[in-house]
Amino acid sequence: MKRKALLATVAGGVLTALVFTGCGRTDTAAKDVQPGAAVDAGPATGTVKIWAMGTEGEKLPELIKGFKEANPGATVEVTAVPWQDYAKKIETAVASGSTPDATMVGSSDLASFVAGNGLEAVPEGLVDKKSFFPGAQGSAEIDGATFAVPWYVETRALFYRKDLADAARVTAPESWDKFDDFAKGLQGQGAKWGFSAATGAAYTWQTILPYMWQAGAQLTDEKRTQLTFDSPQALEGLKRYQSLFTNGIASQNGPVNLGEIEPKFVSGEVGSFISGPWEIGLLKQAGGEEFLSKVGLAPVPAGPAGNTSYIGGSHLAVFKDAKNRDGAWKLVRWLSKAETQEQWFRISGDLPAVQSAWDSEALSSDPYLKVFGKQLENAQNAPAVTTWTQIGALIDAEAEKVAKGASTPEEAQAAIQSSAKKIGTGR
Amino acid sequence: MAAWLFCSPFLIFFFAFGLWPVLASLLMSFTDITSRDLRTPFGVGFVGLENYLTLLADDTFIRAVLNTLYFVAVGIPVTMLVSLVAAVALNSGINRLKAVFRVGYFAPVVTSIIAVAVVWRYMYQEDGLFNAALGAIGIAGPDWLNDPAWSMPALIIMAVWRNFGIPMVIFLAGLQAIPTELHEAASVDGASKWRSFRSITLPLLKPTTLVVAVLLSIAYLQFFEEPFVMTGGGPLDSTTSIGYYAYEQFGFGLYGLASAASYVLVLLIALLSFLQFRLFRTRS
Repeated sequence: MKRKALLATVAGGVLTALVFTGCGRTDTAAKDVQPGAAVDAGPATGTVKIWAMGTEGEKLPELIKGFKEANPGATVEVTAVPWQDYAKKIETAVASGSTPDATMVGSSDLASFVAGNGLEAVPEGLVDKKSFFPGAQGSAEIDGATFAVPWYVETRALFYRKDLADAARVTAPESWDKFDDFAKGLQGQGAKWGFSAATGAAYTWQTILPYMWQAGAQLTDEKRTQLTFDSPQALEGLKRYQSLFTNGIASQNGPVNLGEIEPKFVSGEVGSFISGPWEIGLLKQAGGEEFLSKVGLAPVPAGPAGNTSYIGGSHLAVFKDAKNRDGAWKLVRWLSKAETQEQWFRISGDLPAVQSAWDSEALSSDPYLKVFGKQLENAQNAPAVTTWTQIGALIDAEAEKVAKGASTPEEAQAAIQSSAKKIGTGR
Repeated sequence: MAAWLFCSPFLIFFFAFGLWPVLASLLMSFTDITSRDLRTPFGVGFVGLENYLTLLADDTFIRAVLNTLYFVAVGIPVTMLVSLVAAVALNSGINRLKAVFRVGYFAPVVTSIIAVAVVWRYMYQEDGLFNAALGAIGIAGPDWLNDPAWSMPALIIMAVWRNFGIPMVIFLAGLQAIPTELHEAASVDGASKWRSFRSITLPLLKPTTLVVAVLLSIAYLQFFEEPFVMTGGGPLDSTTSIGYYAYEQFGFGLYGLASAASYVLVLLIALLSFLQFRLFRTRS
């Protein structure tokens, strides 16, 4: 009897609490988002607190020295935050209203932070939106408003063993049809796998979406209110992905952990893979400086609709609860100047999101960067919908089934579309 | 009145950081709260049992429940057996290196799971240490972490290795509480070592065994760290546990659904503990 009484009390408490909270979510519709008030051109003052993740968190203070010279009245406090679980840290800060002034945001995570309602829309006229790579600018626009300023970008290109390719007398393939022969050629020279593809580990979707785009798929409708994974083009992309495994080019148990692929590439077990600019440094670490002479880099092979690659990178955003809101936006504006971006490239190796910064000597003379620069002109980001984290994980799971032969591309497509429809775009 | 005043610091902390979060998450499991409600929590709607129904309709969740039960059903007996054998070996007194072994067996318990994971991932690779050892005796080992049939056994082996230290210490205490006279009397009567272990040691260890069983089932039902660091729930959801599933839903910002999943776990733990305590009462 006692237990029943306890249950009744708890249930009563729940009901009362719900009556008080009432119902009906207040959705902020797209058109309601107003860009923040304009920021004047004068120097920044006061303390600006900014969060930065990973290497950026370590190296940003060095860059900031220049900002302090131009803005003597301002100090910048950089807090380095680990990438791991940074999203939860930002969400918690927003919920409790104890945010810093600005933060770095991974470009594919921006939408979910916007949903958390903690970020201020970019003030009108703060930066020239056309100066950035279109893929980067596009991923900063959510529900018709711009919530962040692109900072640095990265895109993926094809890394391959030039020595094996030369021995096999094959050249970097420009299209899907030529790719298989290329990969088989590498395998003929001793590589166990001609190519390495993600097979379900986190962010496998970054491998899948380019195949869909290359087949011509549009993943959302014009207004980004519907997800459209049910197109024949998306299916073609999934089939292309599956063929990597059925043709024996790629292992069904692709890399699971970070740092797994480089030693295999150095040893020659893996002949080629698609990755971003950071890979050059990692390969140097894994194989030594001289190993780079064996590394070839080419744009990703094209499908029927082109060779669209994935664009990632980071943006800069300012919180609604910022104490030094103007100072924060001024810092962001300074960070997105072409000169600053070039200097930042020399400090960190991050690729500038501002297109004109690529004309500088440091970037234009590097043969590897030339390939990435070219690829950036044709690269897309994940659909900027607020539920993307969830949909991305869903694609990861379905891709794993396709890779391991547990389902067909048709089944995976149906599963992705029906679940994505259920999850929705967050509106 | 004075008593309440003296107790109040504890009570305030207990309600704020103990009871309230527990009740709040129960409450949340009946709502559609998501991460977007954190800043403006006044629009959250009451959805009744909808989250629980969503869970029941989700194949991944059902799979997670089955995986968790698999882990518990295999992991607990194996852990208990290994820890008992280790405790008996340590207690036998033959071994002069007792202290060294005791430290060795207990070391995995205090080692960081991340360090453990890095090393074990290498050992579980297709051409790793385990398969090399198996190959030496003529067995072709599986691709442990990439084969859905072997991923769970692989995690169970690792979990047993990591967790048998504490049950071992409890068994050791239980063994040392058995009066030596009983064994001496048995050997005078001509009983073999095995006979006296079976007829004296085991029955007297029964209370200890049940305590270990309850502790292990509470710990093992919350199966989370191993899939989190080793497999990410894969391959093909073969190592997704209830705890891992809930963690993922929290990651998506679906706090209502995640809370509901957590409460399914709470219910399971309560149920299993209740059954074990019933067993405990009738036997002792």
